[in-house]
Amino acid sequence: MMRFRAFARRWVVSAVAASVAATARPVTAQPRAPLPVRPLSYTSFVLPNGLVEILNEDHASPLVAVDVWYHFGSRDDPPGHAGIAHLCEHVMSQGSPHLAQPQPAFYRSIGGFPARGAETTDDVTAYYVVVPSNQLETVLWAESDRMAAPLSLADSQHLPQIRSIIAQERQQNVENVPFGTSRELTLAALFPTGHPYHPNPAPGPAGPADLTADQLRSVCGPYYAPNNAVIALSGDFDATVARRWIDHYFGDIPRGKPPAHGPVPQPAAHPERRLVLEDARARQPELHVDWVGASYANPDRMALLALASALSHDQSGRLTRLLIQDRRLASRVIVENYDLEQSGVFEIAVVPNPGASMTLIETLVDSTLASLATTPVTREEIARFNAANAVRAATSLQTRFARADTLAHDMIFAGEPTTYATQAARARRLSPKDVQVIARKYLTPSRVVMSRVPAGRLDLVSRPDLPYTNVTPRSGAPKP
Amino acid sequence: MTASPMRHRGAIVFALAVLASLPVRASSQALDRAQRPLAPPELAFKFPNVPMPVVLSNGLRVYVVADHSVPVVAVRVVTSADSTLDPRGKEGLYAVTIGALHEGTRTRSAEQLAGAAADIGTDVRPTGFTTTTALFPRALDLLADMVMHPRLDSGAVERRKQIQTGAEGRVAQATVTVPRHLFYAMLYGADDPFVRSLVPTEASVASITTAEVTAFYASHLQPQNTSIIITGDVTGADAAARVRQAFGSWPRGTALPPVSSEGGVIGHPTTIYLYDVPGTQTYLYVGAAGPARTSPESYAADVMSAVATARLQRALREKRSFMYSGTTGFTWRRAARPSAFVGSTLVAAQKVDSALVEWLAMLRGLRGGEPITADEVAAARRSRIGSLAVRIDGADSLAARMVELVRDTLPLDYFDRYAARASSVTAGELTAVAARVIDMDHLIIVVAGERKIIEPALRAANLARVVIVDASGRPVSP
Repeated sequence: MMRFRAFARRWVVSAVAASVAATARPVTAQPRAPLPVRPLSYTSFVLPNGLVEILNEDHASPLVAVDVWYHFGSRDDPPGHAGIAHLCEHVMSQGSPHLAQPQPAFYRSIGGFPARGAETTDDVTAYYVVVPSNQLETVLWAESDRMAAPLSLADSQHLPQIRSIIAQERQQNVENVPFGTSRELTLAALFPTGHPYHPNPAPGPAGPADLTADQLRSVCGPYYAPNNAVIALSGDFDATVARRWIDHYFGDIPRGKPPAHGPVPQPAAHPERRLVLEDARARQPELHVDWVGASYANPDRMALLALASALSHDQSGRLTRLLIQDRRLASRVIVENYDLEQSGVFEIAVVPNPGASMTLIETLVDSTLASLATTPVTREEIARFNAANAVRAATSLQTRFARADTLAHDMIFAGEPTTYATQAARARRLSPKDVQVIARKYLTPSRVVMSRVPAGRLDLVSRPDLPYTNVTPRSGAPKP
Repeated sequence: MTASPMRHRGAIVFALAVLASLPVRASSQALDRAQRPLAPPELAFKFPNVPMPVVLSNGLRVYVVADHSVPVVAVRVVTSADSTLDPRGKEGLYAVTIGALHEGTRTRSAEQLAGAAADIGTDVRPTGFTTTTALFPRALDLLADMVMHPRLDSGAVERRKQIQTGAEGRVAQATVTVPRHLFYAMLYGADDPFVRSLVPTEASVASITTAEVTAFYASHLQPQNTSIIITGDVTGADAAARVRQAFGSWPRGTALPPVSSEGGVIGHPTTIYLYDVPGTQTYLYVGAAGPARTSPESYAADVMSAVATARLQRALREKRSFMYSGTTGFTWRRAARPSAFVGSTLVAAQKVDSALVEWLAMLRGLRGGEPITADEVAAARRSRIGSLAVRIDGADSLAARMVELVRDTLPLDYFDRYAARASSVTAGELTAVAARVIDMDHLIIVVAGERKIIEPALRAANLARVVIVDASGRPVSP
C-alpha cells in the first residue's frame, strides 16, 4: 500500500501520542495543569547484524503487534525509477522462500489483523500485523524469512501481476478520488525538481516497467538489510523469550550495505505559487495553503503544532471560530503540520460553505496570520494545546498496534523510540514568544495556495486576479 | 549471538554508528527456515465481564465495563434514535439535532463550551468522549450539560446545518456513495428509512427548522431510551454514581419515543444495475439479503463470509490481478431486521465482465460447487476470532463493541457466544449457510462505471439481466 502516512495521519499518533505506563489510578484529582506525558516502557537491543529490536511488554490483552520497518521510502527512488520502493514493497508481500502465499493472506489465516499489512511512505517501508500472542514466533519466523531472502519473488512470473495490482491501487486511492492527486501536486510545488521529496510521477505509477528482476533486486535489495531495519513488538509476550526468538530467527541474516541517507536540503525561498486543480467528481471547492514545515525531530515542530492548535482547535481555534462560528463561511477548517523524516508540510485547509467566497476566506486567513505579530498566541492557547497533548498521549496509545507503530516510527525518525514524550515535555515549556518566532520563520511568502474546484468552476478560484497555474492532470479528471 | 540493552537515544545512535562501520560479515550459520514453528494452542476468546446495567430512576441505563490496563476512560451515549427516524424530506434532521447539542447550553455559549472542553484537552461531543481517568468527571459533566440542557436556538441550528451540508457534500462526492446507495435501495427499497439515510441532500437539510430540531430532541432524546456506556479505568460503582450525579436530574420523558419504520427486503430476480459514471475504474457491489444478527445461523454465516473474502482475494487479486482490495461481509441491522451479505471492490472498466464471471463462480463454489476445505475453515475461524480480540483492544474499541450490543439489542454475552460458535463451526455448516444465504436467483449486482465500455461486454457475457439506472435507481431508457 502506498500510504501517505507522514502526510496523512502521523500527527494523530506521534505528535501528541504518548504513554501509558499502565497503572490504574482512582478518579479523584481535577488537575489544573496537564499531567506529564510518561513514555511507554520498553527495552531495546541491537543485534550484531545491526537489527534494532524494541520490546514493549504488556499483558493486558492476549495480542502482540509486530512492526518491521525498513528505512527505505519513495524518496530513495533513484532518478528515473520512480515508484520502485513501492513496487518492492508489493514484491516483498507476495511470499518468501518458505511461505508459499502472500503474507497478508497467511497472517489472516493465523488470526492476524489488519487485512493488508504493509505501506510505503516517503521515508519508510513498514510491515505490520497484530496477532494472537500464541502466534508471535510464527510471525517472527515469517518476517525473518522475508528479510533473509528479500525480493525472492521478483521474477517474470510475479512482476506483471504486481504491476497490475499497483496500477489498480493508484486508480483506487488517487486517480478516482476527488482531488486525489492534490498531495503530489502540492509536494511538487513545495519541493523543487530533484529534491528527495519532489514526487516524480514518471515513468508510471505501477513502477518502472523496464527494470528486470535482477535490476530490481540490485536497487531495492541493499535497503532490505537488518542494519537498515527496526523490529518493534508490543503486547503479551515474555521479553526474554521474544529476544531469544528474534536472535534465533534474525541473527543469521548478514548485515548489508544500505545506501546512506544524506541530508535533505531545505528548498530555497520562492514567490508564492498559486495553483488550481479541477475535478469533475468534486461537489465542493476547497482552499489549501501550504508551507514547508518542520521535520519530526525538528525542535521547531512542537511550536508549529501549538500554532496549528491555536488556529484550529475544535470550535475554540482562531480560524475555526472566525470562519465557522462568526462569519459562517466554512464548514471545516484543518490546520496541521505533516511530518516527513527530514522536512514537513504546514497546511491550512478550508472547506467553504456553498456560495462563500474563497477569496474572502483567503483574505481572512491571511489577516488572522498577520495578526499573530501583534496578538501572539496566548499562554491559555498553549495550555490548551498541552492539555490536549497530555490526553492524547494516553488515548492514542491504547492499542498494541499504535504502540508498536509509534516505537518503530520514533526510532527511525528521531533515533529514540519514545521521542513523542520528550517532545511533549518540551512543549510544556513553550512561550507565546516561541510560537510567534516560529510562525514568522515558517509562514513566509514561499507558500503554495491551491484552489480545488469542481471541473469548469474557475469562477470559484480564490484571488482570480492573481496569476495561477492550472495543474489539473490532462487525463486525471473525467469530463462531466 | 549477543546483544546489548540500550535505553538511551545517545547510546542507540552511538551503537548504530559503530555497527554501521563494521565490515560486512557472512552469516556464520544460516538458519534453516523450512520448518514453520508450531504455535501453542490459542487461548479461548473472552469478552470482558459486562455487569447488568444500572438503571437510574429516570430510566437512563448505565453500562460499565472496567479495564484498568490504561488510565483511559471512554464514554459513549447510545439512544434508540438515529437517522432512520428522519421524516421524508427532512433527511439530516437527526444529525443536525445531535450536532446542535454541541452549540451551547443554557449556561454556556458555544465558545464557552468549546473552551471548557479545550481546557481539559478532551474532545467532548454529544455522542461521547475519550479521556484520561483523572479528567473523566469533568468531561462527563460537560457531556451531561450538552445532552440535558442544549440551547437549540436558531444560531446553533443554522451553524449545524451549514456543517452538515459540508459533510454531506463530502459524502456526495465520494466514489462509493452512489453504488452503495443503489445496492441497499435495490435490497430494502428506496423508501426504506435506512436507505434514505444514506444519501441526505442539501435541500432537505436546508428545509430543517429550529422548531423541528427542538421537537425532534424533545421526542427522541429522553433518558428512558438512552444508555451511557463507560469502558476503561473506572469501577462500576464509582462510574454509576458519577453518572447519577451528572444525569440524575434529567426528567423522564412523558411519551414513548417513536421507533423507526424500517421494513424487510425486496426480492428482485438477479439483476445487474449499471449506473453510468465517467472514470477509469468501476465500483462493483454484489450481494443479497442475509440473516438477522439475532438468528442462530448468523455465526456460521459470518465465518462463511471470511471464506468468501479469502476466495475473492485469491480469484480477483492473486489469480487475475483485477483488484487492489476487496472484501465481503455482513452489514448487520438492528434487532431482527434482515442483514445484507455484500462484497465490494473496484476494477478497471474493461475487466468488469471478467471480474463478475470470477465473482459469481466464487459464490457458486461456496454453495457447494467448490467444497470448503478444512484449512479454509480453520483459517476463517482464526481470522474472525483473532480480529475480535483486536476489536476490543483498548477502551475505545471496547466501547465500540458495547455500542453494538446495546444499539442492536444483543445479549451481553454475545461476543463470547460468537467465539464459541465460530470456533466449532464445520465445513458442512458453512456450505449449508452459504447455500441458504447466497441465492443465485436473487442477487443484486451494482456496477458503477463507464457505460459505453461496460454495457456491451456485460450483455455479451449474459450473466444476468442488465438494467441501466440513474443515481436514484430509476431505469434509464436506452
